[in-house]
Amino acid sequence: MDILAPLVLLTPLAGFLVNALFGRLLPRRVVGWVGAGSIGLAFVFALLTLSQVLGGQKLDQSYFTWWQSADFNVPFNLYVDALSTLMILVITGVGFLIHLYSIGYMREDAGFSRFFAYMNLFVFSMLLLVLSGNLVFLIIGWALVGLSSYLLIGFWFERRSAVLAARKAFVMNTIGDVGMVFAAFLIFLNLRVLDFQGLFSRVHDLPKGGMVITSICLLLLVGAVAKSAQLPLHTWLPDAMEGPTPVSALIHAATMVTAGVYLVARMHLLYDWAPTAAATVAVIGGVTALFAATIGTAQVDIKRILAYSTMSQIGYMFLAVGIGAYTAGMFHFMTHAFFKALLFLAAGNVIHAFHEDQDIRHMGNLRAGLPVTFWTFLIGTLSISGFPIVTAGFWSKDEIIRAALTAAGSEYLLGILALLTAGLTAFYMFRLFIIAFGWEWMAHDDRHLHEAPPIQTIPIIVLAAGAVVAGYIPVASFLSPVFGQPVEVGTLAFWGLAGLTLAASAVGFAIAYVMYARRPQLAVAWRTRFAPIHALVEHKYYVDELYDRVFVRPGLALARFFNDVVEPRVIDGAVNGVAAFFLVEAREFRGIQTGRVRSYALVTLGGAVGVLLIVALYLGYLPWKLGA
Amino acid sequence: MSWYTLPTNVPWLSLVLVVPLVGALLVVLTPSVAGRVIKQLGILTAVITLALVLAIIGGFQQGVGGLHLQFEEVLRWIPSLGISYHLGIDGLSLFLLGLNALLFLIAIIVTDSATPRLKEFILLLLILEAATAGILLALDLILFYVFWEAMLVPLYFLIGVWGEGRRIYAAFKFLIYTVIGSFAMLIAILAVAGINFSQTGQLSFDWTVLVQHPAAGVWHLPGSLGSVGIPQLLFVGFALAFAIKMPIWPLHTWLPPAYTASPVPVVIVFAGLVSKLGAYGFIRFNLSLFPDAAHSLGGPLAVLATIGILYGAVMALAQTDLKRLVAYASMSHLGFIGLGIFAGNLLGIEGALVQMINHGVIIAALFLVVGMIERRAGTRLRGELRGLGATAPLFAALFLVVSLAALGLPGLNGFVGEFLIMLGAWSSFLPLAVGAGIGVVLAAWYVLRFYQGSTQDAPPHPASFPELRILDVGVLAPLLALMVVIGISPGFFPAAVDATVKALPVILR
Repeated sequence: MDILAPLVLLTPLAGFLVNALFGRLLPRRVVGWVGAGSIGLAFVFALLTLSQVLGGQKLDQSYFTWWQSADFNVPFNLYVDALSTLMILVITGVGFLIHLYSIGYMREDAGFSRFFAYMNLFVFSMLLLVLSGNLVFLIIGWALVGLSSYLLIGFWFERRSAVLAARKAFVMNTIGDVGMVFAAFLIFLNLRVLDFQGLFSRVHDLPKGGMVITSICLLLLVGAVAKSAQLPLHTWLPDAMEGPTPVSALIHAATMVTAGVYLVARMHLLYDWAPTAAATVAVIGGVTALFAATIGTAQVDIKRILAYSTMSQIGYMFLAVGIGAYTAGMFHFMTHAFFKALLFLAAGNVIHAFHEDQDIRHMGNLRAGLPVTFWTFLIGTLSISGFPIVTAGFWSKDEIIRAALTAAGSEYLLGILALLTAGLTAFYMFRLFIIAFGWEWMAHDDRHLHEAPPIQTIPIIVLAAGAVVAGYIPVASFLSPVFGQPVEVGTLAFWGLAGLTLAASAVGFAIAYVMYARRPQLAVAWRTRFAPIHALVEHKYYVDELYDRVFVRPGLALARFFNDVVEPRVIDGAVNGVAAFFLVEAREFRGIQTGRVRSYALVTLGGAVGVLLIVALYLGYLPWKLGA
Repeated sequence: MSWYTLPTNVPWLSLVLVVPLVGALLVVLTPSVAGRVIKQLGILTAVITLALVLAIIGGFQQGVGGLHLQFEEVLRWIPSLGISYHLGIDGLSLFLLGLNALLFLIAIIVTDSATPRLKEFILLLLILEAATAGILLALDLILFYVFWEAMLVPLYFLIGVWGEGRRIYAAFKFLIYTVIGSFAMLIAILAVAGINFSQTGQLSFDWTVLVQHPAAGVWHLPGSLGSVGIPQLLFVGFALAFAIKMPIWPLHTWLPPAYTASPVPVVIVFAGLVSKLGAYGFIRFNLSLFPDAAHSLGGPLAVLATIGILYGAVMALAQTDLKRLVAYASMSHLGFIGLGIFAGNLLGIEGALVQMINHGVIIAALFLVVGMIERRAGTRLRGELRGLGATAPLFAALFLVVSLAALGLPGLNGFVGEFLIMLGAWSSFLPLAVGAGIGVVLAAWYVLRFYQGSTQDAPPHPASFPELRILDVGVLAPLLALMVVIGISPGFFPAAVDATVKALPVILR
C-alpha cells in the first residue's frame, strides 16, 4: 500500500502536467482521454486500496522531510484508513464520471485543455487533502483545492462576473486557510506534533473541554466553514456557479465543499474532546441547513437553487458530525455526492439545450425532448427529498435526523431544524422540477430540444443508479474501525422517526405540487401577499450587501485614505519636515550632480569627525560613569 | 555533511568578490560602442560568479555546529586597530549569496542593449554585485561598513542617472535616509569595539571575537536623567541602519519613489536583494552581538514590523501604478521577515531566513512581470490594462504562478516562510501573529486584483499584447522553479542553516 497511495495521488498529477504543459499542442481527443483517463486510473488504484483496507490494512508512511528543525518535524506522509479510502473512492469515482461528461459538455470550448488541466489539478489536490497524514500537507491540499476552485470558477475569464466570483471565493477561503494555520500552531505549541498519528495519541494530554482544545477545534472550524460554505462564510458558493457546470458538480457539490465535513470527521478525537466546539459545529450546520433551504425556495436560476441545496445538505453533514454522528455525516456525504453530481450534470444538459439560459421560468416540458435527463433528474430530486426505501438520500438523511432527535441532550432542537429543512428541501426541489421540467411549456419561442450525446448521459445514468443503491452500502460497518460501531436503534423507533421525516417531506412535496402544478395562480398570490418576506429570501437575506458595506467598501476607502492622506501628509510629511529642518542647504544642491555627491561627502565627513570625537572621549576620559 | 569537498587552498569567497570586479575592469577597457560585447561580458561575469557560488553552496558542510564559519579567509589589514580582512560564510549568509548571484545575472540579462551609457550601467551593476556579496561575506565590522557604504554609491547613480520620473528626488531621498542610518551604525561599530576593548583589553572589530563577549553595562546620564543600557543603545545604532534599508515602518517613505524610479534591472536587485541585507544585518549583528537588547527591544520592533505588514498591504490595495503596488507589496512581505526576526526564536528566525530567499525570488519575478507589461503595453497603470490573458496566455500562466507565490499559497515558497514566521511570532507575540494573518488575507485581495485586473475580463486592452519571448521565459524559469521546489520540499534549507541559527546568542540566551 505504500506504493499504491502515492500512485492514487500521482496519476491525476501526471494528467495535470501533461495537459497543462502540452495540452495546447495535443488533439482534443487526447486531451480529453488524458484528463478523464488519469482519474479513471486513479479510481482503479483507489479500488485496489479498498481491497487492502478491507483486508484490515492501514498506512502511515513518510516519504520525505518537509521541514526539520529541533522538534518541529514535518514529514510528507500519507495516511490511509477507512475514512480516507471512502473519500478517495468518491473523489476518483464520481470524479471520473464527471470528467467523462466534461468531454462532451466542453467539446466546443476554446479552453478545452486548460479545463482538463485544472480539473486534474483539483482531483490531485483533493486527494492530497484526504490522504495527507499531517496538518501541513492537509493545509497544502486544502489551499490547492481552493486554487483549483478559483481557477475553474473564473474559467471563462472574459466574463467580469466570473472573475469577481473567483476572487470572492479565493479571499473568503484564505480566511479559512489562516484559521487552519492558526489551529496547527496551537496544536504544535501545545502537543509538539503536527502528524495525525502523534496528534491522536496525544490529544488526551490536554484538559477535556479546556481553552486550548476548544480554540483548536474552533479555528479548524473556521477553515471548515469557509471551505464548505457554511454560515457566515457562505456567500461565495452561489457565485461560484459562474464556473462551467461540471465544475459545479465535482467541486461545488460532490467533493471539495464537503472537505469541512471530512476535516471534522478526521479530527473527531479532538472534537469529542471539545464539546463546546462540537456543539458549535452542529449549530452552524443545523442553522445553515435551514437558512440555505429557505433561500432555495425563492431562486429562479437552476444552478443557484442547486447551490443553495448543496449548502443546505452540507449543513446536514455538519449537524451530524457536530453531534458525534460521524458515520451518518460521512454516509450522507457519499449519497449526496451521487445525487447532487447527478442533479448538476442533468442541469448542465438542460442549460445546454436552452443555450446557456439558466432561468427555470424559461424552461418546461422536458420529458419528450430530454428523456434521459428528465428521468434521471427526477431520480435525483426524489433522492435528495428522501423518497422512502428506494432512494439513497432517504437512508442517509434519515440517519442524521434520527441521530439528532434521539441524542441525549438538547440536540433534538437541531433535529427539529433538520425536519423543517427536510420539508423545505422537498418543496424547493419539486418547485424546481415542476417549473423547469414540468408539464407546461412556458418558453416564448418554440425551440427543438435535443438530448445530450451518450458521453453526457451515460455518466448521469451511472450516478442515478448510485443515487438509488448507495443507501444499501454498509458504510457504517466499513467506517467502524475509525468511528466505532454506531448505536443500534429498534425497528419501531426507526420507522417512527422515519415517519416524521417522511411526513415533513410529503408536506413539502404536496405544497409544491399544489402551488406549481395544480394552481400556479396561488404561487403568484402568495408572492404578492408575503412580498417583504419573499424579497428578503430572494435577496439571500442581504448578507452580500451587508459584507459589501461592512468589509469591502470600508476596506477600499481606508486604503484610499491611507494613500491620499496618511502616507504623503503624515508619515512622509514628518520625514520631509525633519529633513528640511536639518538639511536646509540640501535644497541648494538639488539638480546639480556634483552637488549631491558633495553633500554626501560632507555628511559622511561630518559624521566621521563626530565619531572620532566620541571615541576619543570614550576611550580617553569619560565624563560619565560607565557601569559594569 | 556536504555534497563534496572543495579544495581548501583556494580563496573561494574572495573569488566571489574579485570576479565581478575583474569583469567590471574588463568592461572599463572595452570601448563604449561595443554594446553587445559589454553586455555579454557582464553576463559572462555574472555566470561565472553564480557558478562559483553554487560550487560553494554544494561544498558547504551541513550541520556544523556553533558559530563556526566556513571558507574563512583572514588577512592582516590594520592590525594596530584590530581591523582585518576577514571573510566567512555560515547558515545566515549561504543562500543569500546564491540569491545575490542569481539576481545579478537576471538583472544583467534583462538589461536593454539600447540603454544609454550601457557601459557605465553594466559597470555599476558589477561593482554593486561585489559590494553586496561583500556585505554577506564580511566578518570584520569595519570591512562590513566599507562594503555597506560601497553599495550605496553605485545604487545611487543607477537610480539617479538611469531612473525615470522623479529619479533625482528618489535617489536623493534614498541617499539621505541611508546616510543617516549608516552614520548611526558607524558610531555603534566604533563603540562596540571600544567597549569590548575596555572590557577585555583587546581591540578588535572581528565579529567572531565580539560575539563571544556581548557588550554590557549601563550608561548613567548626567544629572537625574536616569540611565540607559549600553547594549540597548548600540542595538539602536545598528537597528537604525538596517531598519531603513529593509525598511521597517515608518522609515519606508524612500522606498516607493526609489523602486518606482529604478529601471527594471536595478529594481530587481534593489528590491530583491538589497532590502534583505537589512534583514541579514539584524540577524548577524543585532541578534548576535546584543542578545539581551534583542529581547527587550524585539517586542516594539515586532510591533512595527506587523504594522508594516498591514500598512503595506492596505497601501497596495490603493495603488494604480503597478510598480508602486509591487513596492508596497514588497514592504508588506518584508514586515513578515521582520516579525520572524524579532520573534527571536528558532522557527521565527529560520522562517525569516527562508522568507528572505522567497521574497527575493518573488519580488524579482513580480518586477520582471511589471517590466514585461510596461514594455508591451506602454503603460503600467492598472486601469489601462485588461484581459491580457486572451492575447498572451503563456504570460498569464506564468504571471499566475508568481502571483500565487506572492500571496503565500500553500504549496509554493511564500507559504513556507510565512508559516514558520507566524508560528514563531505566535509563541512570542500572539496578537502580532493574528495581525500577520490578516495581512495574508489582504495579500490575497490585492494580489488577485493585480493579477485579474490585468489578465482577465474583456475586451483585451491594449488590443495587441505580444506573447512572451524565449528570453522572458528563460529569466522567469529559475525563479518559478525555486518557487515550486522550495514550496514542496524546503527540507534542504533547515538542513543547511539549522546549526547556525541554533547557535545564535539570541536563541541560546
